[in-house]
Amino acid sequence: MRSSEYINKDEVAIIGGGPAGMQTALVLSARGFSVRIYEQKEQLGGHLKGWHHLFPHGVAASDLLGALKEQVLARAIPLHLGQTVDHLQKVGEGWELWQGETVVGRAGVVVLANGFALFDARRKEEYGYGLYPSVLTSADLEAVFRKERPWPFGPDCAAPQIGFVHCVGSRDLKCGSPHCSKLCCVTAVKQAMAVKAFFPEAQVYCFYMDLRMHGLEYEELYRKAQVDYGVRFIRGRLSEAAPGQGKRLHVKAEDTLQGRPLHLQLDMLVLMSGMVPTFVLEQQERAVFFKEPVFGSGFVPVQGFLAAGSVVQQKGLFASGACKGPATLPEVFADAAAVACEVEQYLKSLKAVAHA
Amino acid sequence: MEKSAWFVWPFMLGFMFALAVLLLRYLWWLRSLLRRPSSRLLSRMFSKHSLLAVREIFSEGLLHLRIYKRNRRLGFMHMSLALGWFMMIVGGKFETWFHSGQFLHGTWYAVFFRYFEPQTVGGWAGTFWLHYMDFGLLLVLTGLALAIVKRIRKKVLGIHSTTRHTLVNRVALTFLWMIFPLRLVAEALTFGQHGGGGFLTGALGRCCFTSGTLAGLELPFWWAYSLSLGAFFVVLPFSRYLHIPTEMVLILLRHWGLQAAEDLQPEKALQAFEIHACSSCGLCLDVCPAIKDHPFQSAYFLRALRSGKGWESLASTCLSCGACEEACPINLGLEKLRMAARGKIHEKHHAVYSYLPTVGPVETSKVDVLLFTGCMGRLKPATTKALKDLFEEAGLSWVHLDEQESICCGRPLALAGRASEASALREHNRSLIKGQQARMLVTTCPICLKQFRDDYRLELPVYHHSEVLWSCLSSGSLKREKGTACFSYHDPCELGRKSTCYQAPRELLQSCGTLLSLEREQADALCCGNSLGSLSLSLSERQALTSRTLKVLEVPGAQSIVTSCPLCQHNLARQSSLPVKDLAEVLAVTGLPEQQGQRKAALAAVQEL
Repeated sequence: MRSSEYINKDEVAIIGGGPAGMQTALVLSARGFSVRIYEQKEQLGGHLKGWHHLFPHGVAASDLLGALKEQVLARAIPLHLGQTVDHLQKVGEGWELWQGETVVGRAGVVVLANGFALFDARRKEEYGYGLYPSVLTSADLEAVFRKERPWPFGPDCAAPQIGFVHCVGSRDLKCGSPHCSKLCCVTAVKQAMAVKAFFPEAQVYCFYMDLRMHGLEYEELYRKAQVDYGVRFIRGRLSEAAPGQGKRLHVKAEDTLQGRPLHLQLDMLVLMSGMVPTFVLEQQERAVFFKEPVFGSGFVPVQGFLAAGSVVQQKGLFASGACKGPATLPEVFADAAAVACEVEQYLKSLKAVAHA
Repeated sequence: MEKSAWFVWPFMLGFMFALAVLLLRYLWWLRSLLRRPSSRLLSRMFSKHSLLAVREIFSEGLLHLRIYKRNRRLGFMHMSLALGWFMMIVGGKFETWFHSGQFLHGTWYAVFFRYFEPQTVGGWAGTFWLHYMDFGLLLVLTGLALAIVKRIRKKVLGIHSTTRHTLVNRVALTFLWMIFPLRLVAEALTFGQHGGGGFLTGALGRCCFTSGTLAGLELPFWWAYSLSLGAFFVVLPFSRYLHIPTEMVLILLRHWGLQAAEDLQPEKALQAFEIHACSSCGLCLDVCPAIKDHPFQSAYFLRALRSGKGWESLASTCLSCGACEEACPINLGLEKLRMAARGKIHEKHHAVYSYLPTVGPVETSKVDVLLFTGCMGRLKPATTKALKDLFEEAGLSWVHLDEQESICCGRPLALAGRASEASALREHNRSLIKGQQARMLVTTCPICLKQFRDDYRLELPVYHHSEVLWSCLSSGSLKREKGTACFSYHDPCELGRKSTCYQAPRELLQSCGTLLSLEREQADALCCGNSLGSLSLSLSERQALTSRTLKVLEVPGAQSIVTSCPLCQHNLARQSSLPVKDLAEVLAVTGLPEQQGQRKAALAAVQEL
């Protein structure tokens, strides 16, 4: 029988080294707790690594990531890079972190910060992702901006026709993703403007269901895209993308405001893939497994109010950031700080009990 | 008639009543035929068709062989009830004839014969009839016992669902169940008091009813027997038991070449007989993929049509997967009836297709294949691409008729009961197809296939791509080597049950990998849940169906699920944890001999090193 004595009750393990994980670690570390980050990739950063610049002000993503990493290094937070954790085992009041048959860590508190995955756009086969090279996802387009992949049309194309499809795998009951991914609307606006900055002659269309510009200065950005950049917003879903003239795509859609069908020949089609869970929690008695999500899997459920970080039915297990559901970067940072406070409260309450 | 024999009157009145109502109803249903009898019908009436009908009445009305083939215990239950009763009716006639030397008697005489002639007379022949009649009664009682068990513990009879009956049907059922035990006791009492009887009634009488104190019970039991018979006959024409005579007439009419109308006429001609020939046996329940979600199964749909209430929603919710029609022991044209009902619902709605002439013809050239991928094909461009690659490989030339613009084949509208709109679409497609010079029309969509084959009257043959690919493999124009992939195959309703194409897809998969066997496949396959057939099933109900179907398909060892309908694929792929592919996609990428050759060469190179 293992004793819980060998677990340092004050230590916090953070699973995931993206913005949520780093920020939670930084706040806890600043408040005097010992934290460790377990990241399955070889580098910190999560999805932020793949971004070129950020809405609404166009700050370079690498600047933000660099600043975060610098702080993590400055605080000498222990990092376990390239380390996957596939389940947790409860030992006494604390946890063991496991990968397969091996214990890879121990902690009094575990914070899940595994973030989100992008909806697999191949599931909407009618949009032709994976079939036609000129169909990209929003993440692919960021890679183009970062010069990690080429534009899908030739250099001779000075005035490309470009389409953005909103809500691909979001608000789609049939795909098992009923939620709104909430940041794709403004991402499309940002990307449309960026494309226009690269190709001023380009004609850019955004196909949307309705635009949700909820964040600070998002609405202003949307107006700017229309007025200053001439991006055309068309309310209607795409019905299909098929091979068109030459290397172009033949896109069929409906303009629901004008009530007429649309046929377009496009040089590039960008699918705004929604956010989906990376894992689903399988809770057993004194163990928590991270399983592959299945159709209709939801994000990590938390206790009580939505802003809370304590995972349902699990003492000493918290969740931070976009693993609880779609969130923008400012929301993730705010949430991470809040969850760090919750963790602190929890640890203090344990101590109070121990003293009593 | 002596005073004591007045007890026959309840039976006689009920029987005469049932006969009169039946006669009136049948005459009413046949009114148009009686007014203008078709010459075809008359010529068939006096031909071998009538004999064939009698044979079918015997095998299905009495022996219930189709039910027996599906489920032996259930078949035996139906058979013992029907055959036993029939034996008693026939035997009763012969027995009275034998005893009295007269053929004609009042109907009651044979029914209550034992009361009037309790003594065994007539040597061995009389004994034979006694035992024969007892055997008939025993058979019925066995069936009755099974029927009671079925109501209490349906699993004993190998079924999961039984029809929930309405009040009038439950009343009729109660009277029916009372008839035969009452007859047994009444006869046993008579034999116990007066001696004689067969192996069942006589033995029961001798062991239990010889006491003189029981003499007073004899007549009341005969009264009870007559009353329950009479009551049963009174409710018969208004309950599901109307199926007993109606099924026989239906079989005759069918053999005489009568066909059900396209529009809904539940009180007219063959359709009326079909609707009233349903016994609510419940075989359509267990096969229905939606049995857990919705009570729209054919037994309930037909019952609603009989009562004239609530059939609209039942008709439009059904998935039209065809499983119930496949299972129906009396081969009712359920799909056609459902479409007729949908047509009635949409009678007043009309759509306009004035834009259709703008869809232009594709350039004409002499080709092998005219490819039609349909609306659903647009959801699955990978299938179309794979198929074109395979055509190329097999050396088949093709024109893709609906590559740019398309007109729906018309089947979704036909399934919605909108026959005239469907035919408007068909007209346009037909002229587009006629403008082409191809050897065959090939479609990747079984929904289109069914429509092209059944309703287009085309001059060129129509194939599903699985059939063409299989013939390419058999002729050697496509070559595949068996790989290690393991597939489970989903039979689309429209390709399987509706077009009876089961073999070609299986041969194709076996040619390049291993095909796993499933709990429910071929004619018993479940619907993917996204059938165009249902007009009103909700998304969550559909998703529940899909997950049940996936449970059948996700067998251990399966690496991918393969199907041959773009709609099934589209739907299953959304919810499946395994990849879901079309046959063409599988064939295009697996088991290519040159690929395997390359692999072998690479392996050999590695081994040399």
